[in-house]
Amino acid sequence: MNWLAWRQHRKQFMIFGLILFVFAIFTVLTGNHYWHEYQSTLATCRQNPANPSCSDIEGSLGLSFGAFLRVVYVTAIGVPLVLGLFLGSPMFSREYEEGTNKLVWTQSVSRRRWLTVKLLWVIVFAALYGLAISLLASWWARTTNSINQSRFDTGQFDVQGIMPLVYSVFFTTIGFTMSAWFRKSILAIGITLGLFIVFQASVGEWVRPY
Amino acid sequence: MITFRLSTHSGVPPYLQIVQQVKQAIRLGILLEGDQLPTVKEVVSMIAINPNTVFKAYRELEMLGLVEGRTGSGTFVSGMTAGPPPEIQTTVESSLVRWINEAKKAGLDDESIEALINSTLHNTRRGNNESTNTK
Amino acid sequence: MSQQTLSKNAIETKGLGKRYRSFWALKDCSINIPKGSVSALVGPNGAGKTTLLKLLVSLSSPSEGSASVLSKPPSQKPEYISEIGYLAQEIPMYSRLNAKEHITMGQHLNDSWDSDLATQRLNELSIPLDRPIGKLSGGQRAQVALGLALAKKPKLLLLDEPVAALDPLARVDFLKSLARAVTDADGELTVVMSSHLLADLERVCDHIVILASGETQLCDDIENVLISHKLLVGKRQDTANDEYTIIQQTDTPKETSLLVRLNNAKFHNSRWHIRDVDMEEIVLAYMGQSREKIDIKATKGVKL
Repeated sequence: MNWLAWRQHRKQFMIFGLILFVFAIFTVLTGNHYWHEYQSTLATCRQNPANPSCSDIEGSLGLSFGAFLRVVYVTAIGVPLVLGLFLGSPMFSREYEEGTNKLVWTQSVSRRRWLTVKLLWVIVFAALYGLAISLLASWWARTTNSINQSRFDTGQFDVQGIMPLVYSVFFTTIGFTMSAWFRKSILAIGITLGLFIVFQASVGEWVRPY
Repeated sequence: MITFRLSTHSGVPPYLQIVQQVKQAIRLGILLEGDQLPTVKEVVSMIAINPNTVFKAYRELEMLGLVEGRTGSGTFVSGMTAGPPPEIQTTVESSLVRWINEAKKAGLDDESIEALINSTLHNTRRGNNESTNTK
Repeated sequence: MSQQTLSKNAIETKGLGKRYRSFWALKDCSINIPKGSVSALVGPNGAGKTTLLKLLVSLSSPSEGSASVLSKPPSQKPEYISEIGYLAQEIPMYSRLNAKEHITMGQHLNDSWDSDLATQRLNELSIPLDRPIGKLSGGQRAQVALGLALAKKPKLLLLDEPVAALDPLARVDFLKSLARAVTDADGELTVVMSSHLLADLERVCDHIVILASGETQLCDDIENVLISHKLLVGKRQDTANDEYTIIQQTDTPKETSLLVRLNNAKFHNSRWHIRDVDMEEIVLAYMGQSREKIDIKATKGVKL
């Protein structure tokens, strides 16, 4: 069953692996650049505090690196969602749509085992993925954190620490379960998306004030 | 080696088609005394047919005395019949000619004569089957 | 029913039925399929053929009644499934995987599995093992699916309209492969194959089940069916008779013809000319009979 789970979905796993790889390269390159820019600006400003750009280091850097910042944040939050939609959902929906569930359920493997193995593959992969993203994003954000010294703005809280990891696992599982339940890819995708929006909105509203 | 053909729309049951084709092959000299009939597996590979049908056909041929099965070896054409000897054929033919002339005199056309021959043949066959079934 | 008794039937069902909301896809189905037979499961579309097969392989669970398959009630347990080979309608397979990978899949998902047999069969048929299933022809797909089902070394093969979408040549090739598998199994393999085309099945099948409108019309050996069903033709007359059951009656002003099932094969009556009928006529008569029943029910306003 493990063999089948891998062989059936290896394309999706590999695509997401590729995305992660690209994200990693991007993060490392820009993160390094950002950090070095910051360091050199700091150094310049220590020597020459009168420089107008030194009163607002973040601003001057932000102007240069704002775009990068947004990309990283969006990717770090968006990718777990995409993972949930496009890895989790098709794991079941496509099987039902093409009828291959009738093929695999009439081999001598119990349905519980089929379900469990698929679920585990997805969850483990999603967890590792989330971990990687969160590490990269945290590392990248060390520059911003040094500037801001705050970790609890809504946007940042998501990115750092283990939140991407949690998101990843959460949404993949949701997408997965929805597709198993509704047996239709589009419906599953729609529901996962809806839940994500609701989650974002409600967590932003409720938890953060504390 | 004899090749079999199967027609699904002829109204003749598959096993009977096999029997008829073997009989015909023997009559035409394609199968000679001592020749081996194709094995059940070979027949099934030639035409898509239920193996039991082949068994049934071969059993029927055995009952008719045309073939004999040798356990372990297969089914072989036994030393028999290319049909009745020519003299008997001529005698039967001449009585048939007489009968046809009688029928024509009675007013039957060709089609009615054919139909009468077929149905009587069919009924006599059924009659024979029934009498053997009562055993 | 003791599970130790070895039944001579591969399948026995009693009052088996399946309902979807208010619609009975299959109702009160009681059939016996002898071990080692090759059964044709015929009926028009929507007759319940797919439903019956799904119930037997546990892809669906019954709303009423019971079944005994290879002396066991249907379940989703691997021990039950491993003895049954199943081909679903439209033959679903992973179109991006090739035949070899499907065979590997079978190896991983089944305990008793003969990879070599499957590979050998496909090589004999010149089917490329490394081409994705999606790129194979319909006939080749069907052969691969059959190969996969047979590699399980099953005791029962359930095929749902396997030849429906195939061209005539591919159809015959498939039936040939099936017949060969039955021959090789030497009586240990039972086959139930559904179709709404009868002609091809007659050559391979020796048993028949006719379903129409979710109900069983007939379940018998083909030989018995041919012996017991006759066409009676005669002058327009009263047809009541307890020596036969009328399956289909056609009346013209002068003539009556009845397709009947005789209670006694030695039926003889001077009022009737008796002629043999072939399977196609018999099947059509049964299917037509059920349609008439529906028409009568509809005109009488009886809810189905």
